Amino acid sequence: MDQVPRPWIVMIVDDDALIRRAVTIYLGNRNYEVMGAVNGSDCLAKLSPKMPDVILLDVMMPGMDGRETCRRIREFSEVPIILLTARAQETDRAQGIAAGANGYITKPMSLKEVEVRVRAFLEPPASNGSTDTPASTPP
Amino acid sequence: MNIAALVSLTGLACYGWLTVLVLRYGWRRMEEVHRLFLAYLVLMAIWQGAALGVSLAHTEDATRTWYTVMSIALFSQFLIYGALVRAFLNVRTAKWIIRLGWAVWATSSFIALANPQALIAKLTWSAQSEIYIPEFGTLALFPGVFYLAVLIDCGVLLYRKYGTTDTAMERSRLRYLLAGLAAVLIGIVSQLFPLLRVYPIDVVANIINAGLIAYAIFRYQLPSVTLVIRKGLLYSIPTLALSAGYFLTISLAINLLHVSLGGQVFLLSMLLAVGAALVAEPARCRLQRVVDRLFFRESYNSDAMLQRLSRTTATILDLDRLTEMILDDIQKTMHLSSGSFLIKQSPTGDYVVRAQTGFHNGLEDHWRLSSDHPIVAWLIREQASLAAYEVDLNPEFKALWTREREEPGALDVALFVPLLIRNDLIGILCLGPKLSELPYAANEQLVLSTLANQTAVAIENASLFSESVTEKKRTSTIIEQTSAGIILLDSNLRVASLNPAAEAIIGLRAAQIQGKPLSSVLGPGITGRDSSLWQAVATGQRVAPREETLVCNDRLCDVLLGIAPLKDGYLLSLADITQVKAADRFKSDIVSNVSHEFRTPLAIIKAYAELLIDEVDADDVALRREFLSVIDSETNRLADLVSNLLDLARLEARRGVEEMAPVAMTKIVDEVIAEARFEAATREVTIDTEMAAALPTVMGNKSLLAIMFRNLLGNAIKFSRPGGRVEVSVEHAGSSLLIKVTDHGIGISEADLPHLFERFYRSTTAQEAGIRGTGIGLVLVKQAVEAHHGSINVDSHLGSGTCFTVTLPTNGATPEAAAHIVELLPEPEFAL
Repeated sequence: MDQVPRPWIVMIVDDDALIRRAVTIYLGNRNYEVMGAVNGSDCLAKLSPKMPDVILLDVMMPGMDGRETCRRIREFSEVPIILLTARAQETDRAQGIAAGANGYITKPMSLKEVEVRVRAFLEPPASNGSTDTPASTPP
Repeated sequence: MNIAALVSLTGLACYGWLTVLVLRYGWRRMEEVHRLFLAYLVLMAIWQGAALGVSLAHTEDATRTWYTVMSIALFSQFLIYGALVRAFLNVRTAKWIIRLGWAVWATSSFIALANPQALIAKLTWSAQSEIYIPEFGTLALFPGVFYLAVLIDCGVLLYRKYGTTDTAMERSRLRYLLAGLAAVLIGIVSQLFPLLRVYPIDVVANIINAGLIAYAIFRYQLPSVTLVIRKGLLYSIPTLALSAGYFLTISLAINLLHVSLGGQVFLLSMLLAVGAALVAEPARCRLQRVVDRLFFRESYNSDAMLQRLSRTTATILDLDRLTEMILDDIQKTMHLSSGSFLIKQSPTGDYVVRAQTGFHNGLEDHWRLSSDHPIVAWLIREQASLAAYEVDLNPEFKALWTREREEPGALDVALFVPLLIRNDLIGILCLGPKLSELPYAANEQLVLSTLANQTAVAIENASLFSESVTEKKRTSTIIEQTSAGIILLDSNLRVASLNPAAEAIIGLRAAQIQGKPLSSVLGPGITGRDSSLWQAVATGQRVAPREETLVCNDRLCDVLLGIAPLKDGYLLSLADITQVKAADRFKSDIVSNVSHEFRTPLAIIKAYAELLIDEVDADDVALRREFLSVIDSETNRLADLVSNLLDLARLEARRGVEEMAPVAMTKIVDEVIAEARFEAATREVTIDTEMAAALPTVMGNKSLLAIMFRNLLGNAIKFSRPGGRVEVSVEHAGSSLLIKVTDHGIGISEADLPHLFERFYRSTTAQEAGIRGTGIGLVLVKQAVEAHHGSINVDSHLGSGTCFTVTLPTNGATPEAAAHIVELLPEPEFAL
């Protein structure tokens, strides 16, 4: 298992506690610090004290859905956002990108894939230092 | 020259003329009757010639000779007359009668030749009539009595036949012969009186007889004798009045004005003649016409009628009105008893009564002449009118069945006139007999065929017109009634008209948009470069319907738009597919929801399986067990989802088709609770039931009701806290059954209540509490309840529990009663 140099912070936003728990365990075992949020508004509330390096965002959630949350985040931050969704159609993907998401993972997803996709945002292939984070700093 | 000679000359001329007529008929066509009649005429001519000889003779000897000739001709003539009548009546004559006849003839002739004195005893010169008047001898009595017997025998034969004949035509014919015979008898009787003997009554009587026989033999249809006599009398009135006036004037002139000179009388006569020609003759004609019109109803102006009717046929396009007017006019003008129009009916080709006049009770509607009727065949072949008597005489129609004869018989037809168009018989004008009882003359038939031709054209026009009217009506009904919207545009793409369906689709009334450019009504997009309409205008070809979005009355609507170019514009057909598109979207929503619902548990199963493989230490038994139980429960969730979806699909596909039967709800409740005991026990939930002893059954489907109750109970158990209690009660209220399922669990928030029965909706409280669900259960419950015409109510408070109340209508029978009714039902009987 590859270990990242410092604990990157990843936020998983999903209404399903079991999914949150699985992601937390998997990424936690790989030295990530994982934050959880149960829905869009919970996510936005938790962003102000501590901005994560990558956000994994479920699309279908009760209340504020993933795309709306994504748009809201984009109003103040360029943090990489990967949408997690059970909807796999082309249009859904396009809508997600239009809302400002950087990536798209279809459920059921492999936890390994999640980790690889997350790391891709944290370590751009050309860079050699950990200081070059693609994400902007939180406000 | 005396009067008797003049009369004889006239008689001779008459016989000569009749002889010529008979000969013109043609020797070959002649039957026995005709030949006997010819012989009779020749004998009459000889007799008349001898009479002329008598009147011109100035010596007693010459007179006597002529009288002998006359007598022999007379004897022969009686004999031939007897034979003629018998041939006419088709009576077979016994041989001895023929022999007796010849014997008497020979004897009489011999007496006349050998001893003229015995026949005519004495001749007296009559200075007044300038002829010798005969005094018959004693022997004259012998042939006289015999020939009188012949005449009486003929009379009896004719009268007997008259009594037994029932066809009108035959009776009329016999009446003629009887009238002739009567005239002859009168003539003979007149000769018995010396006072009358000076008048040529017998000559006139014989001429009349010959004329009547000729008429009876050669004319197929005869006017009644009474009519002829009546007419003769009435016609003589103007002539008599005229001659009376003439003589009155002459005698007045002679007596009062003392006109005595021959020259003056001549001048007066000439003046009177000129006056009569200029004034009296036209007056007489007019008078005769009035008499005709009033008493005989046969005078009419056929030209005026033709002109009138050709105007009618040219202006009226309604078939019923047209035929009625034509019939009415013909009937009134030609003085007919009745008339009817038979028009060809299209599928069968039968000729059916379309219009009628002059029938007291009216013809029955179903009256028809079948297309293969011999009369129809004749009319098509001959293309000429057919008189009813021809049907009686023509051998072609001899094979007609009685029923076939009755068919035109019902119409009382005297003349069938065909209505022909391009050799096609489109109808038959059936005319009843004329009121004058005269047959249809050749020129009348000509007029009628002219009229029939015109009528045929008019009827065809009328039927084309009525077809086009019907077609137009049908088309406009289709346009009015069709669910497809139809908009007609003129060539400038302005709205010409639209049907109600189009009004409904675009939400505008026809009056609001007629005459406006289409682009201003349905948005500029409709005439845009890539639009169907642009394509249709550019290519002039029809454009198959395709989806377009129009701006209808400031809202967008999805339509299928097809365009067909017309002669002077375009036809747009619209089908509103907004609903279909919405349903389509809804369906794809469901697909994506279903896929979401499947992918979520799959994602969890995959994630935990992955964790189990890579992340969990082999000796961390507790964690492994926990993850495995997560996989287990998610698998269950998937299984639930599958069975719920299957239930839903079944319910939606077979809604309303479920078999309904009286169902005891309590039984279902008991069964489902028994199934759920294990689940309840795992969650440490107790189930209390409260059901009355005798509850009425509901009309329903057992499996649907089980699905309904299973989901309600499952939810109640799921949302109860461990150690909680679920209460189930079934009670009877009025004509309904109330099924209540109450839990004391987490409850439902007010925000969630309105969405509870939506597909895949999961309440936030449930999700927050981590209670798994499919989002389909309550949809199933609602559909099952609605399938039973029931209703469902939710009463819930967040944190304190939820109560679902299902109300189902009962069928008013307790299970016992229902069972009883089933027993009472009779066994179905099967007839072999």
